[in-house]
Amino acid sequence: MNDCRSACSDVIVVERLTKRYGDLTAVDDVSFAARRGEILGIVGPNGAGKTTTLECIEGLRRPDAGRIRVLDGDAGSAEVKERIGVQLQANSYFDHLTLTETLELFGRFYKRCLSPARLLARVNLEDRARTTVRKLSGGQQQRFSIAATLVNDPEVVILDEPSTGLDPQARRDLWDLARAINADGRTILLTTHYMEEAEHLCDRVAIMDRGRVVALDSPRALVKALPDPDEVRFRLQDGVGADGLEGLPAVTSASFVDGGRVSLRSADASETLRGLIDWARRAETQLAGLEVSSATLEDVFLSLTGNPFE
Amino acid sequence: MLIFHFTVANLKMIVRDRQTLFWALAFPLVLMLTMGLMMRGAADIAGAESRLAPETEASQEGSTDFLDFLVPGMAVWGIMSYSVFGIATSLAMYRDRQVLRRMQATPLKVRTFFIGQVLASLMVAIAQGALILSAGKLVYGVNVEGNLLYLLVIMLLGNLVFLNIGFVIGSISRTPQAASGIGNAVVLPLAFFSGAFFPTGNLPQVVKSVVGYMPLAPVVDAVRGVTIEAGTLADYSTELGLIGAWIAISAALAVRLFRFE
Repeated sequence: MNDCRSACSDVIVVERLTKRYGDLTAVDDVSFAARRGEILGIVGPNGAGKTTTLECIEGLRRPDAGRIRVLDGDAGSAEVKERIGVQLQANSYFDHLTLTETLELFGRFYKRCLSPARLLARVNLEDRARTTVRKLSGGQQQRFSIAATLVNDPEVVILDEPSTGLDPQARRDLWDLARAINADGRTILLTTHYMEEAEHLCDRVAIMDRGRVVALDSPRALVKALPDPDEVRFRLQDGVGADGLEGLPAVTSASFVDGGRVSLRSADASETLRGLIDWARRAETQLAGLEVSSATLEDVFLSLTGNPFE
Repeated sequence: MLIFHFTVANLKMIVRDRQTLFWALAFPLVLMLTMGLMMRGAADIAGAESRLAPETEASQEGSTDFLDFLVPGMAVWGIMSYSVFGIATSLAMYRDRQVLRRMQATPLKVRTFFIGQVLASLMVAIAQGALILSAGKLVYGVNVEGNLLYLLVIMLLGNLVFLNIGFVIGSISRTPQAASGIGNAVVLPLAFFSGAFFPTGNLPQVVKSVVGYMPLAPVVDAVRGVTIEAGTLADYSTELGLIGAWIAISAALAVRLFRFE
């Protein structure tokens, strides 16, 4: 979409990262990079190694092998910590401090910080400024923890499963918030186990399974890379034969599904549709109930790993 | 400057956690007042008996002496319990809820976190010690003879050891429950054998000499020396030396064991 991006510097570079817990290899020889200004999502089932990968990048865990550079510094160094914002899965703040007090305290940990009022306004919590953290609802706590990750005005924001446990509306609000933070020019690296979230929110997605990154690209490109990502369906009118449908452009297979509907699997729906319309004109028939659908990241996961997602 | 703000934030948290604070302060106080009442009751009975039988020596004097002995012991036991349990359980809770990990993700230094916790807890512990001693003096007329500044110095130094022990226990405990259990295993035997509640004269010599080198006994002896005998710091240089050694040992252990991860 934006060709400059590949030329711009990578803000996070992970090279051959491996992390073991006893016999379990949680992260197995993983390499990838996050580009400046993008939202990069790591998606995968529970136990795929997403959180461990993040924790190594944040400097909270020491890799058994491999190298991680963040903003041209070593992961976990004080200089890097000054410039990144980190959100953990748990609500990891002090129960008895108010939102303003917590943000003030965290701000003092850094050389550079934003004002609590500004941060709270950013996440729509101005009216809860004097409430203690423990009295917030789940969605509010999640928003607050994002405000706290912004306290040092970071260039890179790392969010670990930010929308887990949120209701659909709160989840969409969180996507808007993440996009707004990204629009400020901050690179976002996040994990999620919602394919839908990865598809809607992320510029690029790394799919992780059993400690490995099995694919990394934009959601569109991942879906496009499937042999037949698109499907075209319509109803044949009485007396019209299905001859010639399999030979239409980009079609990989044609079959009948639920009672007389034709399903065409296609590598490129727009090519197929062009041919299909010509076909219908020649056959002097209507394409009743025409539907076009595209594969999702779940189909990509299935095709790459051989396992259905979750 | 950060240390100052972090200490203030810790004090706010301690004061706002009403229930924990109430039990930490009130329990030793109530126990002290109850034991005082029992002693008085015992003295009244003894007093009444002595009026019937004038040759017995028992008198109001005897029980007052025991309260003079008991109240400083309870004050030291109170600050020890508060410091060990307070630090150990809150550290274990912070670890459990990833608060420590969240700190680790910031440039905050372990040292700053450590000192901020210690300073805030020291202030609360001193307030608690003062509360128990004052209540003893006001309610039962317990002797607090010596220089209050000496008392402050001894309690501060002693409490440093207790806080370090809290840090050690908090570092090795996975859950607040475990921290509380290990805390009990440390505090209870020390309290019983160090002469906090009753004189150690009847204990076997071995126990006495071992416990004498443990961290609670020198604090109890020095505090009592100041309150009862108006002793000076110089009079208790041996005890202070022992406390100093324990500060060094416990701080080394705490620094070695306490990590954000």
